[in-house]
Amino acid sequence: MPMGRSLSTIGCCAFLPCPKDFCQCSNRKRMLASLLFTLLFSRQSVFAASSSSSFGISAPAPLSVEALSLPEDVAGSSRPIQRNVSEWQSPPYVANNANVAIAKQPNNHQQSADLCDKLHLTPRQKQMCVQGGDGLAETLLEAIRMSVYTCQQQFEYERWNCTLNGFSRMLTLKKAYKETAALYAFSAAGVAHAVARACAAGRLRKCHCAEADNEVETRQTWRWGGCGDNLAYGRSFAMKFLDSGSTAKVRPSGGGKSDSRPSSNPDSKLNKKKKPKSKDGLQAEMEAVSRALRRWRRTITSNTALAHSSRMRKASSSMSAETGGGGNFVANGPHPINKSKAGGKKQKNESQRQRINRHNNAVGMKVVEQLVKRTCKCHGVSGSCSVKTCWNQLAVFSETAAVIKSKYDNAVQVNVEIRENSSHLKTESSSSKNQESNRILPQSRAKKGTDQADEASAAAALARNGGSGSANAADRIDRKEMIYQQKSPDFCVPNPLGPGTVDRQCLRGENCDILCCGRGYNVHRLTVSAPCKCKLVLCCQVECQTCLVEKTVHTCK
Amino acid sequence: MADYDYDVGLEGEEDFYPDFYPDNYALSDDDKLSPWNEQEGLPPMSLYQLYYSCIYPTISDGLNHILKAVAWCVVYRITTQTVKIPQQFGHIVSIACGSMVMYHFFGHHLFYMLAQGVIAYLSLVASANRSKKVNGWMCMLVCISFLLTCELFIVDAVHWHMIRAAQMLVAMRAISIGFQLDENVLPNLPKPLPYFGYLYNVGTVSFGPWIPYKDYLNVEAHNRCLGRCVVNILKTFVLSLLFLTVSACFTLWLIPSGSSKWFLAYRDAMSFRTSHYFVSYLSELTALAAGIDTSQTSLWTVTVTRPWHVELPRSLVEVVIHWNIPMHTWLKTYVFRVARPYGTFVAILGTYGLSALLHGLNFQLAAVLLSLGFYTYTEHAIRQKLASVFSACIQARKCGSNCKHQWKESHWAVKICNFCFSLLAVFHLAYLGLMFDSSKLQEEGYSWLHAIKKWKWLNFSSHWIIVSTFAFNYLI
Repeated sequence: MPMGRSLSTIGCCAFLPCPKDFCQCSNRKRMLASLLFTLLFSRQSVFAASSSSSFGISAPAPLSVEALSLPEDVAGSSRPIQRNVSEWQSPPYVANNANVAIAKQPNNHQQSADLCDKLHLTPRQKQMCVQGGDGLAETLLEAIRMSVYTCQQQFEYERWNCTLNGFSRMLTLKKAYKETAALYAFSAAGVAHAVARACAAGRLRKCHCAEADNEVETRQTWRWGGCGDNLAYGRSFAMKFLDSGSTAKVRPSGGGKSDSRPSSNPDSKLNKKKKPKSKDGLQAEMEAVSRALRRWRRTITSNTALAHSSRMRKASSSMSAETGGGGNFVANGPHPINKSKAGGKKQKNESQRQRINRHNNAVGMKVVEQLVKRTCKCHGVSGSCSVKTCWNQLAVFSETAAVIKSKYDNAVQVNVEIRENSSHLKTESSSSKNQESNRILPQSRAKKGTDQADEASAAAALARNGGSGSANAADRIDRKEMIYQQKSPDFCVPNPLGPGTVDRQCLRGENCDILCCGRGYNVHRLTVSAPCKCKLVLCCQVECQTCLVEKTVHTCK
Repeated sequence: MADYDYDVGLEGEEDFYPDFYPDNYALSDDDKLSPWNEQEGLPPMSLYQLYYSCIYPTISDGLNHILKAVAWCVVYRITTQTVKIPQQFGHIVSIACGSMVMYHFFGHHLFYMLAQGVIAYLSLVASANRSKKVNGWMCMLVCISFLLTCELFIVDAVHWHMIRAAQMLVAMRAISIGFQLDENVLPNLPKPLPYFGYLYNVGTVSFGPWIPYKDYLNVEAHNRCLGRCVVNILKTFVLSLLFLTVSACFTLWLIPSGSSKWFLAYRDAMSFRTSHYFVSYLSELTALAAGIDTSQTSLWTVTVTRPWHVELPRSLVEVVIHWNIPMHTWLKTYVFRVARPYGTFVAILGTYGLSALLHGLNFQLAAVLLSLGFYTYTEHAIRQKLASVFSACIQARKCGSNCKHQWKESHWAVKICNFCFSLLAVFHLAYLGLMFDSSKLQEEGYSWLHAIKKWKWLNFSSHWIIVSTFAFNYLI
């Protein structure tokens, strides 16, 4: 190829929004282009930035290899392990940075498949995971890490501390306690958050700014849109992903671990789907998501704007109305609660508990959405603000976690109401013996609620909440509230759901009484070494000495 | 259902997967560093990512605004400058297109700009027939009172912050007409149509630049050498987009938020400066597209700013001059020269003070502008003294052709010395520009608390330096 042409192509691909066909650059060309631009801007860490290591700051921490016990060839010997941002980073490019552990430029597919294998996925989820690109599996792992860590941080001084021990988590998840609700909300929020960030950072193959719909912004004359953290995508992905987890029906339950691999899945529908789908099918689906997204996004802006006002409900109900027509999207609609309205069939297979879980998932994602921060840059003569450029930024996840925790504190207990006259809604769940149709109602009004709003399914009741003028609308459960069904067990003593509070650390005078369940506490005096007498050396380095500090620690008896 | 239901055999009642977490998942120590809690500015990302997350949306939205503004300029140009049309009609088109652009950027707040023009015109009419030449000062007084009234009592902070620059430009144009009347540059008050055509000319109404009245009237005279005009338009177009992306994306990308505070200060100041270049080039672009030419020669250029003189300045004086050249010309012509008889220091402070007043009651701008006044005065004085002491070309401005110094500009010691002064100026600039950051306050104007907080963060270091320079200058 003549040099001139190839150079221009490089320029095009790197810097200009060219038509896609024109921009079918080879990896090498893109790489060259980035190099070229890199040199222009001589940013020291560009190599690092575009390869794996720098992501440590931007989002995902290096994967914890031990925790996941990855196969050797994937993890490599040093950390952080190789993350392939996207296909265009070819090996020589990465090799420029000596610090980056170069995992064998492996078959990316294989690698992400391996990572996906580490997760407990339904076939559908697994398909999403593998096809979603190399970034996705890691993003999911990051979501897990993030949720677990922040959850434990939030519950540090609660009797139940978001424990992972053995099967505790799994068992808790199968119940309908407040704690279950918190776990679901945390993991949903984690997925939405992590995917949104990975999306914004360009680590996911399927999403980028081009999918953002700037119509809303441009209509408001002096507002400029941007995409930044692409939450809309993150949320819809999380919705879809978690839904495909919970709606996978009939599965040999014993253990739920060993037979969780897709091969052993008896779900004929899913298996049938799987073959013809492969890559294109999934892509089509992903595109359907983004198509629906575009519609949905129009409302999301108004949502965030109204986040703190009481009109929130209105906005969200209009949102669900809009998504209603979203083709593929309907089936796995963004509002699980609404779904039963749209697809009555599917509802059949859905147990009460699943519905509660999905509600709590939605609560978690909603929190992420509500905390979105819009960051803008003003432009104008002498520092005025005649025009703005904006991008949305997610709140730090610990903030999200704190809000979820407060929702946990104010969770609402709901009751499952059993009615006998509607036979068409038989659930497959066996938990309630003669359960036919059910409604989730706040406990407080569960009894008097029998005689009204008969047609309303639980979902409809929830969705309509605050909307139309049914008599007890105010009593209905807010879609922002976390709901649970069963009273929590006593977490003071060891039980399958948690290790109890013996030996847990507490703060004297603050929470020892509650945490230790009245058993009292032990006082330990420890000598710990801690950094001290820190001072700034030169411009930017902090040097500290290590001192021995005496510390008093209280643990529950 | 039992309250404490431990019936949690692995065969739960539900047949769904409760979870997608890995088996026996546990956190490792590394995970506890919570890197996901750091999230200000743009996280480190490759150019490709930066492109998608910032550059692309910024440019596409930027284009949306730029093209709309330029389209109206072109409409104006085609209607008025391709065929011979009555002058009155040209003014009407100018006002109409200008209003459209104003409406695009400011919505119904364009009303305040129209009101400003009308009030200024009334004041000019009222003072026009007096024997004393007070048109300029009268108009200035009226305009500033109107600006302050709007700011304090009528318009809310956010919207005022949005329109105040355009409002100020309208006032500047009206005031300049007043002074030109006083100086007999204009024989008599323009008729309403050309007056309003000048005030709301489509090429200058939203972002400036200020142009003299005669340049507006000369618009039709320049409709030759289209080729050069198109080249210049393209040049300014590319430059404005470039600076836009630098301001919105690259500065945040180049200097991540973890850097030391002086780097951060430099970054925020740089982001502000490049944003200013963007706006300046945008104003050049609109002016050129509307067929305005302020250059004396036939080069067909409108120069608003000279980035390199600001980024790598010889001195702060140079920065002030090249920051916004039309504004500088305006202040120099109508304020500084008038106040000069009262002494240089007073004239300088008066100029900056008036400039601050025109910008409205904005503590931050006033603080920056008055500081700049003091800075430039001190810098100018000390470099003048040093230059004469060492007989070297190290004054604030470049030594002209009649340079009598022994050591010329090209001497290495002079070069080094000037370079050091440059660095000092860059330092001062980072300090002064730091507060126009992208914080929440940017939409409603920054409060005095914000300004003080920002400067305190840097320990008022630049102020201390300049005060000691001033003392030093006083002593020698």
